Amino acid sequence: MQNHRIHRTATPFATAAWDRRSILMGLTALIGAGIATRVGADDLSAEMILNDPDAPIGGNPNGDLNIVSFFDYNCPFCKRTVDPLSAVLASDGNIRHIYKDWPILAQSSVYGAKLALAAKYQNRYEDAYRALMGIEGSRIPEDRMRQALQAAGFDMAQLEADANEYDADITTLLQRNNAQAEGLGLRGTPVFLVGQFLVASALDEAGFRQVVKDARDAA
Amino acid sequence: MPRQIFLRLITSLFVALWSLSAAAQQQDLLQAEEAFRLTVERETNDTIEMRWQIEDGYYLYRDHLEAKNRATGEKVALHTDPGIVEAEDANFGPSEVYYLEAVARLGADAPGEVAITYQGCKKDSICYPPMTVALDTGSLQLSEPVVGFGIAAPLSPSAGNTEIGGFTLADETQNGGMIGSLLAIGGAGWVIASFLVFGLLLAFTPCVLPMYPILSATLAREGEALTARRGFVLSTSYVLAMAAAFGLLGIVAAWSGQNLQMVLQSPYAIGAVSVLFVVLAASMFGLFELQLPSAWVNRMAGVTAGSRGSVSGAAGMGFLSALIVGPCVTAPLAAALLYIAQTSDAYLGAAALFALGLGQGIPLIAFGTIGSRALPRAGAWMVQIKYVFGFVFLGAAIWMTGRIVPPQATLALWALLLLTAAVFIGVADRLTAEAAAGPRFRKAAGLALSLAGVIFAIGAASGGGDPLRPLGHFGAGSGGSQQHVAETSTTFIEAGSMPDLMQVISSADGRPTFVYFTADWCVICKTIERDVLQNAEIIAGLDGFQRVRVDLTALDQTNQEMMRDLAVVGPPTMIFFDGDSKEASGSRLIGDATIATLKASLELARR
Repeated sequence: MQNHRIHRTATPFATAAWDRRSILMGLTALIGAGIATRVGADDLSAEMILNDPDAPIGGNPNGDLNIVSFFDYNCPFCKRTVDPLSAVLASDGNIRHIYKDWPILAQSSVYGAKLALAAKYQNRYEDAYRALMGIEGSRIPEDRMRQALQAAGFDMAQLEADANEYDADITTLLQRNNAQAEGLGLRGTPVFLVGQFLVASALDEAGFRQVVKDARDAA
Repeated sequence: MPRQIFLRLITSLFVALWSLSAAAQQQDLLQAEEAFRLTVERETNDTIEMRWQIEDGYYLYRDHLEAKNRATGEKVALHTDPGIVEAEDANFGPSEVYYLEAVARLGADAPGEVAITYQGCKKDSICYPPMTVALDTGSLQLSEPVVGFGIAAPLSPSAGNTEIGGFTLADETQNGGMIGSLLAIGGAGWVIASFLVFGLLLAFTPCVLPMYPILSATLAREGEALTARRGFVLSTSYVLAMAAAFGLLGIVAAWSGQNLQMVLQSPYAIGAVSVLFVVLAASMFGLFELQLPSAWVNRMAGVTAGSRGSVSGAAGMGFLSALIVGPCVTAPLAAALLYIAQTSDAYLGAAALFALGLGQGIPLIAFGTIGSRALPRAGAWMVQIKYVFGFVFLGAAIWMTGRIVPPQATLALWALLLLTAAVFIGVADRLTAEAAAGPRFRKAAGLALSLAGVIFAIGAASGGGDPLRPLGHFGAGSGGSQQHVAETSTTFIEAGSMPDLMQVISSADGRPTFVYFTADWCVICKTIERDVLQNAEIIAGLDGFQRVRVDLTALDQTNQEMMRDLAVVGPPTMIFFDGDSKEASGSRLIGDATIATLKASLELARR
């Protein structure tokens, strides 16, 4: 299983039963042990939201202001914010950007998130992020995600091998992100935490600058 | 450390602030259930209208509205009106959406339980995860919406896409397969009727044939009490138990995801059944009467004629026959197990399997009833008949043991059996000069059996293992027969695990690939390997194919993974990938394969 986990898709005999069974088992485990076994209480702390060692960091890693973005590769509004936000990060130069892959909109979001996070192990997370966010629309098929990554210069065999090798870590991170988002009461994507402000909308460049200014003023 | 505590304080303050601001910021952001409110209504022409009231500033996607049959997972047609074309962003293309209100209709032919999925966004703000409600089309009751697509199982596959790693399976392995289509044609009754017919068609295949001697031997144990009526009762209970075992297969598959038949091909189960056969044979030879207390005999062999014991004995034999003695993977069996796995509808799947078992058993009932009438009843004949079936049981025991011991040992056992049978016929009895024709023929038959036994013994002693050609290995070196030349020219790559197989397929380089699942205990596989795979035309047809064999004799984790990933229920299964590593549609062969069907499948993959 290790070798092809990432693109394992509907395989009938057993898979269906299997997945259903593992879900059931998962649920039982959760009921039995409480969610705390899965998601430690610390995972929900601001410390983990801002400084999760596994979450990719962009912008200036030593910046004085944090922007945490929760996003999905099938979310059109998220895609709209990529360019304005990177323009603000570049011109400001003192903002630390924390990426929270939160795949909730479609099944292929999970696939995309896993590949993007696998690219982190090649130190190319942001390349993958841009490639995937650059695909038009919502409900992107997995094939198109693969093509976009290939076009961005990824060796797909290597990337998938990495995704499989680090699958356990990647899945844990996605679950942690999900727990954090739910802990914050988020309802969808995108959401940005800018300093102490939470913004649940697709800001344009001026909007980002305004919130950044407000956050610095309030600090 | 004070600094740490301070940091902690600060960060928890942040969380509090975020949560506060989350509440504040999201105050104007509705919960998905509030933003999109769904009501259903039945219209005069029996169609069902679903109406979403959408809050101002929110929208639903037209192409994310979906209906699925909750039982089978198949898509259900949903009629929607055109929406407004909304450019979500100049850069990111338009999509068709509904503001304020969306309407979708289900046809009058919609299944009983439909899952409806919808997804929307607040304009320029956020997009909500998909929501799914269950609709009972009879009572029009709606469940609470379930949000998301199940992040609990982030690895689970996306629907409709069948690609795994470097290869793609054919569509027909998905979506409920054969049962799904039968269900669509004529409902559950049609599925069950069809499986009964499939069973009848399978009744004379190598899967069922071993059951004839076993059933006759079981009946012969009745001795003089055997009447047509009694034969009918016993063979019916045998067949019902066999059908029940098939149904049980379905339930176990739904519960554990495994094919029970394969799990039961363990040395212990086979050994136990072989021992049971030997015990039964011993009772036929009358050995128990000499050696065991009668209570034992009654319990173990159910000798008391007319007792309920022999009915349940026959039933037990039927159960064992289906699960352990003649485990056979056939296309309908595989279809039913796959259907159960895909839909978790164990009831229909198990009912179909029960019907399949019953169909396979109907000729057995006829055979048992008519045969019981034909069997001579009185006198010394009966003893002879019992001896004959004692040998049938011993033969069955050897045949079973053959799955777990080396072929030479099996051949030696056959030799022993033949020699013993020869003695029973009277090969060692003295033939007087005035003997009549009868005894002379018996003596001749006995000699023929002993000759066969001696040949088998020589074969076994010199390392042979094929009961059909016990001395075949002597000629193998010097060109031998045509079969042997053939055998050496059809070679297989053994694949023991999924990565092995992936590697072979990824190195296909435009060549088609033939994957053959087999096992030592698989009876039909033996026939296929001898009669089909050795055929000159097939050998020629397989030329240019990558040939991969997967041995399922020992069922372990890695084997099970391969079966799962390739949607294989058991051996024999043949899968054909074309040069692009796609399974050729309609090419898969499950169960018995003939030269004609194999050629046709090879042709499909070559294209």
